[in-house]
Amino acid sequence: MEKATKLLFAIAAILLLAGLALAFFVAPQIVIQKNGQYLSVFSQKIFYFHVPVAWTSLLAFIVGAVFGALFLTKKERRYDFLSFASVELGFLFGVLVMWSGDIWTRSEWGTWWEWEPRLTTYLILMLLYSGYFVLRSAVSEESSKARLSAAYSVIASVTVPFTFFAIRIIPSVHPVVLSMDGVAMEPTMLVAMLVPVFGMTCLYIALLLMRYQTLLIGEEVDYLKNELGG
Amino acid sequence: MNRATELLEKEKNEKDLNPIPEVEVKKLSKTFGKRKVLNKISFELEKGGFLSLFGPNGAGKTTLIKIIATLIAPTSGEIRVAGMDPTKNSAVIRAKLGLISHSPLLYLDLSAEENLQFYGTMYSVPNLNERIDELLDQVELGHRRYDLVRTYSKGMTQRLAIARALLHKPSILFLDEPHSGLDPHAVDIFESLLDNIRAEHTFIMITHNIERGLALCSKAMILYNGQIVFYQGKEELDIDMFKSIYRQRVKGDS
Amino acid sequence: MSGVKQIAAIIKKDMIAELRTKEMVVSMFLFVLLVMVAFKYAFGDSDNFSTYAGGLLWVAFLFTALLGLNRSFVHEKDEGCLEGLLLAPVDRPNIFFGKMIGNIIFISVVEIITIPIYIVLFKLSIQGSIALFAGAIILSNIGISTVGTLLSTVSINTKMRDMLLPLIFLPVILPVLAAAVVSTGGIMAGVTGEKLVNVFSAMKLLIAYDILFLLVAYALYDFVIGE
Repeated sequence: MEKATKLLFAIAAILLLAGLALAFFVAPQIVIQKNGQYLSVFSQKIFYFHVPVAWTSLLAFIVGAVFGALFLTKKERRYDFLSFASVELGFLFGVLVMWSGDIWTRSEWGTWWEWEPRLTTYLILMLLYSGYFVLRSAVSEESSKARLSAAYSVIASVTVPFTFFAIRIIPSVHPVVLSMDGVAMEPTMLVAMLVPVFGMTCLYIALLLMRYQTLLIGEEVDYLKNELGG
Repeated sequence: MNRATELLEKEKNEKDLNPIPEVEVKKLSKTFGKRKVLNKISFELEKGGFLSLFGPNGAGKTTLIKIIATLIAPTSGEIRVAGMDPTKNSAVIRAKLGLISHSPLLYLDLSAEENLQFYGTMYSVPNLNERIDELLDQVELGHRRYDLVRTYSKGMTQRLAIARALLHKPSILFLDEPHSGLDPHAVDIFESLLDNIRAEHTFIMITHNIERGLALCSKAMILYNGQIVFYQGKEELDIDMFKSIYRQRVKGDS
Repeated sequence: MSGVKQIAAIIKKDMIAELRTKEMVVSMFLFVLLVMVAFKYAFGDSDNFSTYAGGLLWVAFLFTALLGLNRSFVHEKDEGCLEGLLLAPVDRPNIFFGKMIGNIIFISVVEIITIPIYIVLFKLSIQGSIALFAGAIILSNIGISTVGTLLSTVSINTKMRDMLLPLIFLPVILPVLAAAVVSTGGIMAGVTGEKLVNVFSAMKLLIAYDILFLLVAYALYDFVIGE
């Protein structure tokens, strides 16, 4: 597994660097029309980072729920470790989504926060999954901790699409701006988007495997300590 | 340990006389990851037997009870309760089990009758009202049947708790530290009630009370770290050995 | 058949206890009133509350529901009754449905008493269809009780007990809050045309939410209430 992890890290590094190069040197500059003037929007480049981390974050939450459901049916501890590790990574990537979204709102509107549907969805997701970590820390018995948090990871993942739609039925002052709709995606832009998406996914899998191994080692250490009569 | 194997041998011989033991556990293990909550537990409890279960907190006593009660599935090993597999016949087995705990398991804002009616419905007890009359007479609470449990004394609550546990005529009774929180007088009342029902039930009791636990039991067991460290029948029980193991494992650990 | 009887017995038991102590409904009712008075002071300079009608209503209802949901399982856990219930041959989903329907009843009773008071206090009116208004409230109550019963079972099994419930309940229930505010607010304002379409899509969201979470609760309750 260690070899696979290293290989995935290497692939991720190559794809992410390639994505960076594609975003800045190959993908065309977006030009929009505003008050009769043509403006070139350099800050749009953040999307080549923002979209891949957002995708990875959602993927990690879904994978976390799948492993959570697997734990509930099989009751094997490794599924709890995988579920926990995945939700942790989902949260980490979620923080990056909010941070990169924030850079965009800052450069576009000059404010640090806008109640813009996609960012708001992510804010709620972060709160939703914060509850996951509080729940874990509130249970001391290991198997109950695993059982309750696995159930919560499933509940949270079911909530995600509802949050997505609910945000959009609230009348909003701001239009959906963090969107590529209406912008014709040129092939080079699509490539510049897909390459970092794959890179970020590889990075996620590598990190998941690494975290999983550390959790296994942690369990081994606890076990040995107890064997020694700790 | 020799004693334990002797006992197992003896159980094997007894098997011909009494074909189906009420509880039969073979190499039962419950693990979570690396941790062994229960590690290859084997024992048998005959019909009408009384097993006293000692051990420090976290030794696996509750887990063992929960597995017998069909609430947790074991990781490996075999278990038969009244000849049935708890992982497959959970509803049938649960209908045969009763629990008397240190907490009364009663709703304080309901009357005695309402409490029994509620649990009776949960157990689908036939002719429930007659059964309730019968039980309330038995525990001498007939005159207080419409009063809220909140207004009961500790002893009365305990009596009602016993009635509650017997409502569905269980064949196996779990006693979960029934002596804790009872004064000596209440213990006397409790044990005389226990005496009345002793013959037709099989008992498994978790307790920290050595004196009472050994007096009541037909078999005594100490669990430590998920393993049986002491297991003897009452007739050949080596009290010094019991006490030294108990001191070493239970007292020394807490 | 025995399942229905068991569900009914759980509801009946909670109702008897509540009718005797009245602690849930009375404290929930007083809490809603206090929240409304707090609103008045928080937004005192405004005389026209109609824009926030749905919002005021649901923030108050959601927090008072939280109060009731917390109590709902504390009663079961107090004297070890939950243990007794789990040991009985009862299918776990029956326990869930019993507790959930009880919670719907408590929340609905509080709402029925407070909505007229709220309308009078804030000089509001229901301009749209009353039936539609009631429908939106019932749909929201089902969602709140379903998720609330499921998650209060989770929280009661932790060290934090009732402290944990708001932290896990509110983010999960936010879609219901949003949809309830949009639908009831729209109906109270008597909107038409495109805005009415919005009301209907909010109600559709509530229906989908209720159905899905009932299924999730049915599937997960076994694992949540105990092994």
